[in-house]
Amino acid sequence: MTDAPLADETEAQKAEAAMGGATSFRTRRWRLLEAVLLLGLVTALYGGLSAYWLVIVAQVCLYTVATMGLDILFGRTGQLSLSHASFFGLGAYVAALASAHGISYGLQLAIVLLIAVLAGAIVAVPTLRLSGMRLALVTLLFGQVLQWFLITEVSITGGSEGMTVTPLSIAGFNTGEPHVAFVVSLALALVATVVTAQLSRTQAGRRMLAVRDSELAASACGIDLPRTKIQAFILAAIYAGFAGWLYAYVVGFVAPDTFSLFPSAYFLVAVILGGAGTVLGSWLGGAYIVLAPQLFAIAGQPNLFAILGGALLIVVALLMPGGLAGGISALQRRALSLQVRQPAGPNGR
Amino acid sequence: MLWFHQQAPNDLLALLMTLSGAVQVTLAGLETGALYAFFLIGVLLVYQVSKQINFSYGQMGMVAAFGSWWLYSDIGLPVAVAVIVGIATSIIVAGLTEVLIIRRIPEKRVGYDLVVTLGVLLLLTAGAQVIFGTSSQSYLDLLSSSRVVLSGVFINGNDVLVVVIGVAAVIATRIALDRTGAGLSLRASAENAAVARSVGINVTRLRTTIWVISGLIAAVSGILLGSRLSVDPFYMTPFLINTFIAGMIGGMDRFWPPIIAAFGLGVYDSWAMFVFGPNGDAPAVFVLALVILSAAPRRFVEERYEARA
Repeated sequence: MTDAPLADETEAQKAEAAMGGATSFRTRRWRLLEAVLLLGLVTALYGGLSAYWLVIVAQVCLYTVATMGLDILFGRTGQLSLSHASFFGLGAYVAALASAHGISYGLQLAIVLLIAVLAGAIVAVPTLRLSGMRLALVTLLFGQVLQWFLITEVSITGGSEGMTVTPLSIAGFNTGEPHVAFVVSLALALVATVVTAQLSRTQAGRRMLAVRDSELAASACGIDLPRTKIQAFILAAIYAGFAGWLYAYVVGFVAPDTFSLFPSAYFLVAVILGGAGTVLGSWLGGAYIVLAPQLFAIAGQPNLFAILGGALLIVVALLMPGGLAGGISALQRRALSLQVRQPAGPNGR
Repeated sequence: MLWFHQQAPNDLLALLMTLSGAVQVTLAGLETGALYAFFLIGVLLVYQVSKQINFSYGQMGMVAAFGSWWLYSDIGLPVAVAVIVGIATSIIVAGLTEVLIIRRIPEKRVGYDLVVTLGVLLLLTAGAQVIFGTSSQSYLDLLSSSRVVLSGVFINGNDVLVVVIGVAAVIATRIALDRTGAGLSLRASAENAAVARSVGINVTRLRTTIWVISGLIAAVSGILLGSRLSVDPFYMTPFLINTFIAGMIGGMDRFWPPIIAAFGLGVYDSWAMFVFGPNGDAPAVFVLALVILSAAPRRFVEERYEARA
């Protein structure tokens, strides 16, 4: 999976380097403006949305977290996975089963972490020698096995009918309440965003980018390929696991269909459409996965979501390798360069 | 599809006690293997001529079978016409996929064939759901009801049909590759596309032709499998995965090893379903794939060592 766009920090550095240090002030001004706009948007959503749409936006946040996980694996490390919805489902079913047995939330989170690490390692370790189609197939098989378990073990998982989940309740706050669901989901998404954005600045993050761009070159530079790939798989599983865990509490229901091959394909659509290797892309992709079906349902054409997903995957992969985030980034750079080129006014401003 | 789906796992010992029972399970596996082998030919040809994988291959077969069901049951076309239109649709979809999508993947974007054909898979599946519906439908009988019993082993006409088509197609493909000009062109293009072009072979047209042939194979496979199961938008997916597994085990750049792997996987699959129940093949195949991929020599599993046409 070569030729993906550069990751967040590299992208920003490239933009700044291209336009000179003089623009760093303007870049900071952009970021301040973005932060103010973001705060305004969150406040408007919290105060202005109906209960139904607050839950939908909460789902956008959770799907964004899961999409960031796949972005780490596919967008930043170049490993194609078709089992990401399975990792998401593992977290969701831990919530469903643990809440049914009255297990404390702290212990549940520890279980999600443990299962995510194990699942990520189970898929990663045998696939260290594989790439491309072989890797995709093994991840696909993992998803099939999970589906088989969820559907056949009716006494444990509720089978294809699924399970209801009692809302998360801590200190009087209950995720059955839309405003609480929104805030909790947003908090998880913001933490994931900060961690993912920082990842590019760490040794591990740079190793992942090197592996994505050329395994041969990365290996020649002394990068431990197996370790880097395992880290990416486990991180992806942890992101998806935590997102799935909270998703079960926010939505209140889990069923195998939500975690099958097609949702895994939609996560891939989200990463590619949003823009691989960027946190903004993950937000755009997560919003697409949740909001597009809603919009099609409102328009009375729910089946068009999958058709659009297929078409977008083809068109964006072929024509817009940077995805929507790449397009926005290009527009932003153009706006900055136009400001730099503006002639000075009479007062030297 | 397989009679022993109905058998409970605790019947295993009883079955093993009778030779005819074991023969029945193995024969059923060989029949499934023949269908895998036939379906795999299309995957191998496409991979060998262009080093590309078509994730939507199974759905092209689904379009032929489910589409023909829709044409004769909902629209009212005669069955023969409906089947011909279904097959033609699959061929057209395969050809258009190559011309409009695969051909436009920039060379340096290795692996994007998987991504874009996954997009085609989504498109075809969603399109089938919208047009043909989401429910499972009984499809053409294709000799399934004509049965004979030989020494306690049940054999029906559909099994014979599948084995005959599968084995004949495998032999015909090998002969075509070895002894015809087109086969020679294909092997030359797979070996080195640039050299093949320099000696006058139209590699672009050859690749499109191979995709069209793969569309035909997918269509016939979809119809044969539909006659053994039923048709719906998803019935080809597990079949496609197992076929890819056989290709992966045998090696996509070879011919006989993946074909033998297809028959072997069919038998393994058959016994796994008998022992673990109707859905027991999924974990069994997963374990098999992991064991083989872990044990296989490195040169079999590393794609970067393979020359790309």
